[in-house]
Amino acid sequence: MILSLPPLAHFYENAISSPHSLTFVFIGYFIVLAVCFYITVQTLRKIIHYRVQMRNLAKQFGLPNE
Amino acid sequence: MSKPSSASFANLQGHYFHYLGNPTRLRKFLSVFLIYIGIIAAFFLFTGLFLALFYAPQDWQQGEVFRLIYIHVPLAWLSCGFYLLLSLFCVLFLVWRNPLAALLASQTAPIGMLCSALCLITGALWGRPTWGTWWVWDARLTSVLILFFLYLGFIALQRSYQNSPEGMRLCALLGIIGAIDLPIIHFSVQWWSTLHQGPTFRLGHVPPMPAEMWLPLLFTFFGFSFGGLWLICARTYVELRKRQLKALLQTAIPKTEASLT
Repeated sequence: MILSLPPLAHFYENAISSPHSLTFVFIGYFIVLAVCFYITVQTLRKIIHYRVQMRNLAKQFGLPNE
Repeated sequence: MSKPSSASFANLQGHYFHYLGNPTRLRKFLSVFLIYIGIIAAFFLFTGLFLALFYAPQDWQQGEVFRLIYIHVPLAWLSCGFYLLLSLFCVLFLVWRNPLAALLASQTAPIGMLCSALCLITGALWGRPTWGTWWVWDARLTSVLILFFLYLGFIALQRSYQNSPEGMRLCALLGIIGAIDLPIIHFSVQWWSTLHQGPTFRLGHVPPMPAEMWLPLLFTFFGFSFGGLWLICARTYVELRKRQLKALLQTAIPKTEASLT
């Protein structure tokens, strides 16, 4: 029965219906880690951006860094 | 004669509360704190993920899909934990009128919302192969969805008032009232007959799974907790820097220019 199904249906049978497949594990881990990585990088970029701006202003107007 | 230890502890708490209630001191504290907490978070997260994928054995019934527990459960705990933190900041803001508490609450809400959204997504991914459905209007799932909408409401309300004190007061009320959802989430699996399983881990009880299964969970839990805390602190730090720059541009620089000319 399964052998007569088209490839996409095979994939569905093997990957989505089977709890023993790693497909959903990888999708879940990928989504979570990608979102965490993206937010961390964005936050770090902002930290660096404001630090650089602060340093430039301090240099320009002779103010303390902090 | 020395004071009782409880009084000393209260004094110490009060001291740090007032000490960190100053934006400059909080910013300086965060600049150091972020480094340490980032290292701890990275250690726990990478070790936990390695153990979850390569050390933990397969579940006898759920097979490999079981490994979603290592991201789904910490995110579920954190979505509730961060709401509790947000409510605490809201209380601090309403009682002491400290604007820094409002700032911390506003930075906690997006991270909590993200945790609850990721918890719902990973739950759906886990539910499809094990329950046969992506979503069901189960008490646990619905109450977590309500928590997600509470976070969303908090953020929307805060942005609609453009961080004004009046808007923040309303947000704080929403943050405190919304905390009623937390015990509903926790006890939903006991109060109603639901498709979602009951609590696996209970305080004072031995976990009903072998150590090689719960140890990675402990690591990912600490990893995500410290990671989330790092994000909240980092966002607060960025906001404080932004305000500092804004204040500097408005006051110090015109004065400097005037003195130069």
